[in-house]
Amino acid sequence: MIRWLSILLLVCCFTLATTFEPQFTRFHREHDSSGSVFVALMGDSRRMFANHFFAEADAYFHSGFYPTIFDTPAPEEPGHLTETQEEHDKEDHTHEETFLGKPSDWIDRVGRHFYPTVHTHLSNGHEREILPWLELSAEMDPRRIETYVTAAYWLRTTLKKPDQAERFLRQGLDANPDSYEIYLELGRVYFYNKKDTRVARNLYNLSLQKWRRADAAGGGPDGHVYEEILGEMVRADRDAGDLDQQLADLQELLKVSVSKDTLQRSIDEVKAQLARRPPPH
Amino acid sequence: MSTVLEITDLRVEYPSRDLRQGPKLAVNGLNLSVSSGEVFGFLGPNGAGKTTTMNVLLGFVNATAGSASIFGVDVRQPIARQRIGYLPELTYYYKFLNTEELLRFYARIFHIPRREREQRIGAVLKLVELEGARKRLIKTYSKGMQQRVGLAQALINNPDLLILDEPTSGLDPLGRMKVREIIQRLKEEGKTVFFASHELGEVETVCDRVAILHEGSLRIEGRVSDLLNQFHCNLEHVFLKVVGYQLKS
Amino acid sequence: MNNISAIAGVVIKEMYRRKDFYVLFVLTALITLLLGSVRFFNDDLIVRYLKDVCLLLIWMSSLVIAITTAARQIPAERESRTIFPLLAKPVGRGELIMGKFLGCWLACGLALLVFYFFFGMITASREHAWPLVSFFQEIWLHWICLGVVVALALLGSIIFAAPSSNATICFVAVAFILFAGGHLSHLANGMRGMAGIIVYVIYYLIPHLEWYYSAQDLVVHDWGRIDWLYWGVATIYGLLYSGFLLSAAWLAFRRRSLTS
Repeated sequence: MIRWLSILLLVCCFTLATTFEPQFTRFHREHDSSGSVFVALMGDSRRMFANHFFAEADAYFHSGFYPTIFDTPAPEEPGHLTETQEEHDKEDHTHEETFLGKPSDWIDRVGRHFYPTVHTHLSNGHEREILPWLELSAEMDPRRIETYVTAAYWLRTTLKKPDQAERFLRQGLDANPDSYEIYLELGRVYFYNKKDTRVARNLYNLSLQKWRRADAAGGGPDGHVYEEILGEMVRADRDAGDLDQQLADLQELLKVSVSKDTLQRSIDEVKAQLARRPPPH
Repeated sequence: MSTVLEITDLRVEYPSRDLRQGPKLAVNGLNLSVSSGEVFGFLGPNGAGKTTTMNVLLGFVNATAGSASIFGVDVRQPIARQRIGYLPELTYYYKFLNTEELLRFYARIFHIPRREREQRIGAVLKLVELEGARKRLIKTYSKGMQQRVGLAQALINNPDLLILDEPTSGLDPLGRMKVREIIQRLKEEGKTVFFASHELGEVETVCDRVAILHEGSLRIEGRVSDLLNQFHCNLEHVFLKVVGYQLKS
Repeated sequence: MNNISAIAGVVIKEMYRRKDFYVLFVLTALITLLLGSVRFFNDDLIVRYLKDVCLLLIWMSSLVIAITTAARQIPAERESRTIFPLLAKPVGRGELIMGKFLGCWLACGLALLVFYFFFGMITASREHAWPLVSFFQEIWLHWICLGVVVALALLGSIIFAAPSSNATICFVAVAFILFAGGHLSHLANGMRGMAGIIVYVIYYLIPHLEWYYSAQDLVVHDWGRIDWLYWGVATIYGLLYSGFLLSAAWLAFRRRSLTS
């Protein structure tokens, strides 16, 4: 009797499993690519947390010097985690007026001795401190592209971890297969860190295609990124010694760039190099 | 004999919860004095004002008018309570302490020196027969044992005046007998005892003098023997007559 | 002082015999260790997030301990009627309040020492450094802040009948001060008329506990020690506020009738 009951139970379990498994898979596919437990638990509120964690990373980048929701916008806000190192270095933070302004009373004046009031940026590898918040932000909202790009930038530049940068960017690509920003950053990993110009050039191409597709679809893609893609392509062409392609990319860049004089000079130089090149046999 | 406890024109009013009504009068013009070495029974039906009077004596409640003093010190001064021991009707003590720790805590409050403190704790625990359970948490005690802890804490400072509020209520006959024996022993030692009780047989046995309070006013006061002679009956009947209860027989 | 220290001793004994502190400590330690076991981008040197989360948990736990312990002291004495044998002894009501305050405050201090020792261990294991001066300043300011919170909860326990409602009100008030207290003047600036004046009055009336809370950022981000002068100012400010709240508690309690 027990044996028959066991067999019946087994059959029931098998039937239920075969019935629900396709539905479960479809539910997962339809809802989110991350498949994370957060998705089920938190719903759309996780995007709010993702934004908060990204802002936390920015606050860490400034060693806790960060405006709260009560602070009025300042002439120069500290939220520039996504800027490149060069852009950072150009800024002068020594005499700026911060979001804090002047102390309004004695409570404010004394209180300022108990929290960071100086605008600084992490350096000497301490940039790593922002990474947990970026990973958490990506976990909360896998479609937040800025998170992957920012983390990858610091990983591949000052932290010298190109493999980790690539892993994170590919994770981002899984959730955002049409992101031209991620392809651009991935190309940079290959070009600057792995010194693989061919792969980098292919990735830039992919990035350009994605950008154009987004543009054609009326998605209003970021024009600044378009310039960056073309700029990186020009560098890759120069590195590969492909003057024809370099000229073509420079001319494309000239159409959208504001620094037309500099670009024109570069075009003239490439044209001169092409003219000096011996004709093909 | 010197006066240990003195109450003069004591009036206590409680604000009424109903705004349309005036304050509720709990004690009205009470005058009382207890001399050294006396065992004084403070009697009255429920709601007569006994507990309120005791609360004034112990500083829990402020008098609306009149005054009260213990050993000549106004009861509003904490120092007035330096030489008294108090046993409340219901005894509840810190559940997380054992008897020894509780008594040590109270002994500290009475500024009993460290060396003397341990001797004193040993003595009162022996008196209330709780020596064997001194390390046990009070929450594990039976009701009778808790009442004895109450007596122990009331005696920790070797008080000259003991204020006992229904000391035997809720105890079994054996427990009552033990408490009565302790009061008797204290009386023999010359301590002053002021206690409220509904056990009139017990009061008749141990008290020198009694006062009967009814509806906030003092109805009668005197030596137990004098009252029994005056009314030609036992104390229970005296009490009933004073509070206006007509016996059918 | 003898009575105050005796009452404080009982409060401390109560705290370490109850399970609240141990539960909160184990929770803090578990969450911190769990977070510490996560390796972000294969990097073992990342430490600030761990310090941040650990300090946040320590703050939350300490506030829970301070408020719940202080809020129940006098109501529990009244409810369990232990206040009667106590006040029947030569103990003034002011001494009772001071004893309760000192007991809760010292108990919180002891709890803080345990929590911060754990924090120090976690930090040292990653950073291989122990900035003792910064740690000392942080623990001290945290403790001073808890003194104000304990005094506030004690005052609340005399005003509000139920310890649970008092604890809730205290939590809300402290959370409000920690997150918005310092910004009320900005809010008042943007308001007109009576509302602005009321917000200004609140701003100047409340104890600015956010000073003490925000100091943890200096530890997390290795900003070094606080200027001793301002550390001293914060200490005196906290003690004055505690004194003010305790005086208010005493005024409210000294003539209150306790019916047995």
